[in-house]
Amino acid sequence: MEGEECSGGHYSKERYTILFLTFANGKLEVSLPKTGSIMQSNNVATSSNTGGVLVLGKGPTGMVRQIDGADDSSDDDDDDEDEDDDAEEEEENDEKDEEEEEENEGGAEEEPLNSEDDVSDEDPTDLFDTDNVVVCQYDKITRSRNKWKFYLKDGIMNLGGKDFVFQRANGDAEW
Amino acid sequence: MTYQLYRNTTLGNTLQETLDELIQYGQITPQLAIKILLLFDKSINNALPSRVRSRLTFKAGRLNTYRFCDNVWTFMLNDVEFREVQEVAKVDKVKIVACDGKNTEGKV
Repeated sequence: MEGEECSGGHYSKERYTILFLTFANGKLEVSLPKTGSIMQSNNVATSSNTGGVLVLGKGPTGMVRQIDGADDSSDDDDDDEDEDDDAEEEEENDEKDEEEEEENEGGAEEEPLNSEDDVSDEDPTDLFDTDNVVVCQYDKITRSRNKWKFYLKDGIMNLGGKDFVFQRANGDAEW
Repeated sequence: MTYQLYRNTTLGNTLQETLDELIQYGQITPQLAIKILLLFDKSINNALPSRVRSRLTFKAGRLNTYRFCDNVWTFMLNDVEFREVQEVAKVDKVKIVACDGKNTEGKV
């Protein structure tokens, strides 16, 4: 209420239901329930009786029943939840570390760790050492959707270990 | 237009290795080696358009990747067939590095 101290502070559970009333012409003519009381809102920049703030009563004891807020988890509850989560995470991490240690020890004894690595035993061709490279200049590189066309010139190629040169090279590829 | 592009060829790499060896033996200075490489760049950039005549075409099974950065195109092609009149060369994988061939480009 105007003039009263703000009770309850930041975390107060008191809930006030507040109704702003005014008519289109600015007039305020409403019959009010007894328990209500009207305050003039200081922020309404009009003459008196054109608008106002109707306080319909406090919390659960007033005429307007408070529906929301009753089951809210308060900040206290949130803190508790966080603490639990942290504790759980720590436990999980400890468990994970233990499991990893066991795996490492077990692995050394049972089989090498790289036993399942993808290793290709055979060279696909005899030319695995060759990085086939073409070093050149481009006149034009074009693309239409995924169809690429290359217009190259003045190039030196190393294919399969052999060297080639060209003045012009045209090519096609799909991406 | 003197690209240092052609240093990563059999010819260019062999030259660089030789120069490194000579530097190691103290027979030439590093500055001289740099000069020689620059001269190599100039020579190869002049020789290719004027003394090479061959033209070829190529067709790739697939363009694996393409990159255009600093006006340099880099392509990775798969299953490529290079054809010059009668001769054919096939490779599984080829990397193409191409610098801008326009005349107004400066040194790289």
